[in-house]
Amino acid sequence: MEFFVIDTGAAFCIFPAFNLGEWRFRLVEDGHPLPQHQRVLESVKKNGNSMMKPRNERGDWANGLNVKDLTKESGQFVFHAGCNLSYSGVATNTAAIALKLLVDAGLDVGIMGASESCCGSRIYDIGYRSEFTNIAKRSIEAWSRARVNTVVTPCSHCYFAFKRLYPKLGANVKVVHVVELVDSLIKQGKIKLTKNIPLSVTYHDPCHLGRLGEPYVPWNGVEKKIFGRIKVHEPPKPRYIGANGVYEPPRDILKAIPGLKLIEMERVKESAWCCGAGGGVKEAYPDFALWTAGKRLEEAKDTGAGALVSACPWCEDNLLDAVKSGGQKTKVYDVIELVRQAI
Amino acid sequence: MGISKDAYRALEEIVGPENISQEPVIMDSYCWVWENELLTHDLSGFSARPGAVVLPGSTEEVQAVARACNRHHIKFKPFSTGWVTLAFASGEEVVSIDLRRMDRILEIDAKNMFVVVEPYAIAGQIQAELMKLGLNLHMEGAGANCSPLASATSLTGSGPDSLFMGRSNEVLLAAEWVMPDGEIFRTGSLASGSGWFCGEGPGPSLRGLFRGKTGAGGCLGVFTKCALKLSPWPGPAELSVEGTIPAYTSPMPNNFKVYTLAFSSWEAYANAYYKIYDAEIGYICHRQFSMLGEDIGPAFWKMYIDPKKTLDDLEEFYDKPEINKLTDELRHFSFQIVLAGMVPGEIEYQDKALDRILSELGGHKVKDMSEKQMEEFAFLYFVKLPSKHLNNVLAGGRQGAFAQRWSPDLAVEYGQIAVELLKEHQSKGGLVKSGGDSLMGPMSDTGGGGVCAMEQFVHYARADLESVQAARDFCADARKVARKLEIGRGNEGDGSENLTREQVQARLAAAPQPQKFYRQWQIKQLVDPNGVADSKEYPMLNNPQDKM
Repeated sequence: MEFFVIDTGAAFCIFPAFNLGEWRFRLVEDGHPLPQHQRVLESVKKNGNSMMKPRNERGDWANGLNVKDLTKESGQFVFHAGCNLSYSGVATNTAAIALKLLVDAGLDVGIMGASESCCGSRIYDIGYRSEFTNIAKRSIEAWSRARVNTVVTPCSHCYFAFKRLYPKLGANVKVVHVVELVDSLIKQGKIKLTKNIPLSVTYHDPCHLGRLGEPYVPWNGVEKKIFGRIKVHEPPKPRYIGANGVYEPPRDILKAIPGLKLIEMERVKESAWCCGAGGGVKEAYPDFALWTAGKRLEEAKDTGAGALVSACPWCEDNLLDAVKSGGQKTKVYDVIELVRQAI
Repeated sequence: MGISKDAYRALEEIVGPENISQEPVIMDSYCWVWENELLTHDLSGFSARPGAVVLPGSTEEVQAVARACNRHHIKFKPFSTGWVTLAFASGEEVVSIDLRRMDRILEIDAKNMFVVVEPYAIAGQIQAELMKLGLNLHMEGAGANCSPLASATSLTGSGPDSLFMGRSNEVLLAAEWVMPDGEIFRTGSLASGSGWFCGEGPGPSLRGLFRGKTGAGGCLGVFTKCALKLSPWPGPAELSVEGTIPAYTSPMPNNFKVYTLAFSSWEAYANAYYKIYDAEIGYICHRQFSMLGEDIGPAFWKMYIDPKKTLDDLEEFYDKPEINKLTDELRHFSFQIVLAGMVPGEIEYQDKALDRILSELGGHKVKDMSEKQMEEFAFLYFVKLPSKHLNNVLAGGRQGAFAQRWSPDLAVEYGQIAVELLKEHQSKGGLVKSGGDSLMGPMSDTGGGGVCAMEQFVHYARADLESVQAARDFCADARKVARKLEIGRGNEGDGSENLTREQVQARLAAAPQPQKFYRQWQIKQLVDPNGVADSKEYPMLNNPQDKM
């Protein structure tokens, strides 16, 4: 057995996740992928989505919405729904609601419809580097053709891929999560929340929006040693510590909803407990994913809040699965759904 | 040899199939810990795998596991938060009993000031609950993510708060003990149905017996519950944590003060300890910030609290004239103190008493360490002890040596020897050149003062064999110094040497007062006649001829 010595002593960024990611790539390249992940890989390769659904149904969620088709026109914003929201019956509403909010606010926004492709985030997570690169490049080229300036998405996994991974492959677009945009539109007065929602909620920070939601900072430098054995970098490497993810915009939205009370859990922001859905865990170890979500539900319940809110369809689905499997009655919402109720 | 199939099945029936494993990848996670590369002579850092790991969820399951081990002639070793190599099983004939499912705080008796905990209830979580009630617990120097039960029953256990709150063995009250043969033994008041409040009685007082010289070490069975004496906490029910990771801060309440104190000589430094003991002031008192090295420590701390900086910026800070000035000010003769006023007027009194001590000894409060952000960082750091592993940040590896518990006069004398030796080794090129003085330790190793502790840290690159060897060489020389000076076994970098049983016996026989190691052998024979509890880390001398 070959040993890796992952020396994060000098990294200081408290972020071994990317080292683990490299390890996964190496395992897959050496012929040790997890069999449970093959379905997802094949689905993305064959149908451009991780949901095992037909490619031509991808844009159906937007039927009835009068919105630009960016395969035929250009636009400032491309709204990327993501695989989950494109096909998931319940969560589809989040994509449609979010898009309508943006259109009604006067943004120049369009969609790729059935031509939208998987962001590749799951493929990256399960260790397929070259497949991810191919997927990413397709989207980057499509955006370039549509002369898109900004990608907006309601899916935190897509957000992570576009914000952190795509720039390394040459993507040159701004990336925002829909909660960032909606928060900004509320503060500008372009979305007015007037209906009272008498509900106490607690907010779950998605990993891919929070800890992993820090923007990519290019670095091209060298490693050197100081004081004998301390490894450092010149120029200094960017600091990915999880603290600069997207934490305040969803909270500000919730605080702006009349009648809504936000109660925080103990473990929030960069310390948030993962829901268990991402990273290929739900596909490979569904029981463990449910257990993880169950722990988060307990924590949410302890706040006394009437509902758990998040900003990621994968989190919401896994939390809902845990609610069902535990026979609980906890409500799980997306932030955007509550915005809709408050308009 | 390993664990037989029958034995495995017996254990599986007790804990359930989801709570037992022999998978190599799982076993590997029970034989790797920081500093282990000093022992393994390569960079893998893995010791021998245990034969299996079980995760019992209750005292009854632990008892059943112990009995099964006896029936099947296999050994066991408890494993809670697993801070050092002490936690490891010695090999594949040993079952590692991972106590992570036993993580509850069972009872907080605020009136009688004790808490009852299970092995995996960690200090940080217990403290958070206690603070809501105006209480606090002694947190052993390893920090907030370690097990107070493990420290109190099975290891040493002083920490920054020991001056006020005592050492782990001092705060241990009654305990529940699954003995190597599977009998459950309750100690102190628990044994007579009087509850948890007293470690001495009415009921058999066996704290001294099972703790021995440095704790049971996981070698005398499994402690499944214990009660710990608490101290008052005159601060808020919840500390508000602000700032950006890792430099979290907390606003300091008005009845607290935190200072870095500096003196101009070792004599004045030692006398400061004595005077603080006598004045009975101080809530948390520790020589902490020097642990990263006299030359680079101040630059590191200033870099650390800047939310935009990383280790890559260390040189930038090191080169600043104001940091050079601070480095000289803090060199050798500085330590940190947190004062807490329990009643109105007390904080002013303690501050005045401290000022008088400083005036008498020519010491001062370091102004640059009292600016708001550093002050609030230090306050949170010492109260919560969240980041006790920062030595590892420099190059990945660190080891303590020269650690003894004794009077401040002797501590500073020995400390100077430690400084010179480290300087010599750093000049050879294999180690981090942080300066010879990386001494760290609690002002008092025991409640009320009188005995302090100081430990010298060597920092090395754990991914570099040459550097690992340089650290081993330093520790070997530290041990030679101790033997030459005929000083008893402290922490002389013992975690860097793989000794045979015969070599261990010879060392113990040559130590001052070998009688105590023979006594531990007698204890081991008494409580573990079948030799079922893994005894690799239990210092005992089994030749009665050698006890003199």
